[in-house]
Amino acid sequence: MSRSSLDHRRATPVALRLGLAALLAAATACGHVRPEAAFPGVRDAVVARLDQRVHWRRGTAEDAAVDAAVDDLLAQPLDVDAAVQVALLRNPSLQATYEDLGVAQADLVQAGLLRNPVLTGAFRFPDRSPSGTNIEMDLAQEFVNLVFLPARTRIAAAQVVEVQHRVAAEVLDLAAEVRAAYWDLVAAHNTVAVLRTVAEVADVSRALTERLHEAGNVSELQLASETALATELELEVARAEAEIAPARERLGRLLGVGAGGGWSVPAQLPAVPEAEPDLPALEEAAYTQRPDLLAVQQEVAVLRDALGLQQVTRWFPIADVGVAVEHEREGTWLVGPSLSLVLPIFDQGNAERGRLESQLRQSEARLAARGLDVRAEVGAARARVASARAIAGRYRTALLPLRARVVALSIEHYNYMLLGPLALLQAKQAEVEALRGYIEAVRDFWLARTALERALAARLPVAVAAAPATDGAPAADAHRHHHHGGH
Amino acid sequence: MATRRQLLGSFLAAAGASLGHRLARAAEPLPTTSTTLAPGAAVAPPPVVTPDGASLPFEWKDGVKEFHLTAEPVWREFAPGMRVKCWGYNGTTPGPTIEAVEGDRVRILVTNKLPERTSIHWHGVLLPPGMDGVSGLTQPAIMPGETWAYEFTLRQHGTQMYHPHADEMLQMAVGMMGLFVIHPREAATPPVDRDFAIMLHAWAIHPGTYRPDPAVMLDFNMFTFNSKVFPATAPLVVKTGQRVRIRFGNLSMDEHPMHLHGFKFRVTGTDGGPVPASAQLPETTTLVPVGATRDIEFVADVPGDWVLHCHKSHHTMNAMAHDIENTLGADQRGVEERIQALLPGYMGMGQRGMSEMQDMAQHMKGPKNTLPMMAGKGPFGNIEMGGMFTIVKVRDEVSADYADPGWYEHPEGTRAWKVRA
Ligand SMILES: [Cu+2]
Repeated sequence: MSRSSLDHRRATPVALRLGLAALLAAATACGHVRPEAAFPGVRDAVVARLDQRVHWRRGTAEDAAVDAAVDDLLAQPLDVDAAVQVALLRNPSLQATYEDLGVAQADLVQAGLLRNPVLTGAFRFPDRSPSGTNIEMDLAQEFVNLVFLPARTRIAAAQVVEVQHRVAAEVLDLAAEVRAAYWDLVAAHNTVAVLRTVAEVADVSRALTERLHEAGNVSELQLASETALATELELEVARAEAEIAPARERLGRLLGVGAGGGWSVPAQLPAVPEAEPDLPALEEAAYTQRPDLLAVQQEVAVLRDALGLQQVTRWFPIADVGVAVEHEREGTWLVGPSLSLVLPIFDQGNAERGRLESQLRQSEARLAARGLDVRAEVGAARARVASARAIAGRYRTALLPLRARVVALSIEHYNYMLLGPLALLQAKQAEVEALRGYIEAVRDFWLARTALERALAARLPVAVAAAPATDGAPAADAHRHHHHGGH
Repeated sequence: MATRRQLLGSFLAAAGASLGHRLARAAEPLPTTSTTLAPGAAVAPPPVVTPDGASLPFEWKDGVKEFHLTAEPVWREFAPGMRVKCWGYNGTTPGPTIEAVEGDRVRILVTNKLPERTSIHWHGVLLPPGMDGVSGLTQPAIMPGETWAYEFTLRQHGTQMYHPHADEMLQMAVGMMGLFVIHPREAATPPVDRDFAIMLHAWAIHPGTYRPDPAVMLDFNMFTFNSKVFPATAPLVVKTGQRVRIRFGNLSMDEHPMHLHGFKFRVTGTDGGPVPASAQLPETTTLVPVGATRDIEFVADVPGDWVLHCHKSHHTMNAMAHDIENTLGADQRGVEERIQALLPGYMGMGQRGMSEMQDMAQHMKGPKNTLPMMAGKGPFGNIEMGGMFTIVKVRDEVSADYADPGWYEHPEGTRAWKVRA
């Protein structure tokens, strides 16, 4: 508070000086509003953080070009960046948010306009001679408005910046939501593909047991057990398949294109990248990059400014200045300045000041809280990325090769009739189940990475890793299963 | 390891010296024998042939036949493709066959190079109780690094055995055992021309492993003649008309009905000694019980390749699993293709029987250090055997060293023929 008090004292002479200097300019301002004027700020902020295009649909020729670009993106299976790009260009909620920029821009124009002068007049008709009409005219301009016009304009401009930050924050939030929804949908397809293989292994076991039963070699009990197991896994596939439609609806809604239409996502999650960018450096950047943080900082600045202005205006005794003209009955014109004073007897501006001070403290507290939020979000997301990377890596480098090795060794035992075909299929089952766990781990990694990107307000670059097939099909036949999911 | 020729020489020398020694100690009562050999009248018995093994050399010391056994870990190749980390004696399992003559005074030095204590019990040998080798009961155990001496006079003849009597279950399960042949002081009547000694054993060596599992009591999967499995078992080569003795010893936990093709034989001895002629049943199969020996004798009067094997059919198989699906008669068509889609290279097996197994094993990979269940190529195709199986090869002409003469060539018109395809 001490610093803001200083600001008030400094603000007074500056406001006066600037106010008088701007008087002529303000008087000639046209008052025309260009709502899109604030958009480049948002666009630049998004490009700097996401390297993605944004577009505010305003019924221009550019709209058609953007639509064509989006249609091109939708024609291919979407990778995560393409999905984000489509959403940034098509999501209607985002278009609604952009209108906040127009509102703020209008406020800015409004703040720059002089309040229209007030002309008051009185005509008095005497009931006896001399019979001239007594005319009294007063053209008054609210003086405070005149003096503080530049200060008000500055505050309104600062509010535009604040709104730009808030809009950029919404764009980044949408991008993060799209990413999360994207990973969920791809993971749902991938999981279904693997579960279909799991179910196929169980059903082959059942079919083989059926043949053994027909040959008189296994009991009805064993056949019923195998059939029950196969049925359980069939139900698990159905349950997993049921996850796809809602996930597609969610992503389609965020993309702004709906679940229908021909867009598709790949059937398999991308592998966890080999290397991660230098996270500590990004964490530092988060404090200067997070638009929500910048918006709160801006809000604090605006409130301080507003409080300073109020400190000055509350004691400003002159309310209106103007020109008073009086036409005396005698025919003489009296012209002179007019002045009306507001006497701060009842309302000394204390209530208004109190409100602004509360708002400022509130805003400063919010800023501190948001700073903590950012730190915690970055820390938590970074920890999740690290653990998800470690788990997915352990699956990929240890468990999956081991499960494959168990299958290969089981085949060797089977070749020498040391292992039965059902035990061999069980080894295969365990291999595919491991793959299912791996897919969950990879999905967790990408979700954690999305949370980190959101926390850092940045897009983390990806170093592509060689991906193992993650649909449970043997490597040699992997291509045969690629049609699963993803439409 | 001494060659067979060296052993034969040393045995003949030993037999002569033994007589001198016996005469020098004439005051000592002789073991029960109906007749004694006059000096110089001894008819040297043929040396014992231990297929895939050898007899233990000895030295004369102060009129005592001194042998030396070293108990130690040994590698044994059961057949090419399977080496087993066993325990045995003098680098081998079973340990070398000890040969002596009834009346001999023998001293056997036993050095323990195992990681744990041991002892040797002279199974079926009549001796003083302090020489019986039961650790804790008749002697302290022989600790690692120690050498102990056993010394006694042989008062019997027949096929005996030796094995540890300390941690006995484990040490026998990993291969510690040997045969102890005591020749009669007088020539056997009628004398045999060929004298074979075979130790039978059952092992649990899980597929893909190298070491016998001593904890297994029933589910043994490898069955050996002198710690070899068919097709690596040495053939028994015999000249037509020779009288043949085969001595079987069994220290496994299973009994083995030994069956010989082509001849009838008589059981002429047990670990208790010679069987009286009146009790020698003619047989083609004799059961060799657990912890017992059996000697059989026959005249190999028909040339040919004749099989000698245990008649428990799973004892003539190499490693088998006991808990796999029975696929016999199960039609896998349609299912097989679905499994192949999941497991490339899968082949449905056993629908028509297990015969295809031997062919498959030749081009499909099995577990490490594991032999296919059935093996062996004969002149007419797969023999489909393993384990306790060998071939007695009777020929009109044999080489001096009884080398493997190859497959028998059947005279025209003496072999089964195909009537129709
Ligand atoms: Cu047997």
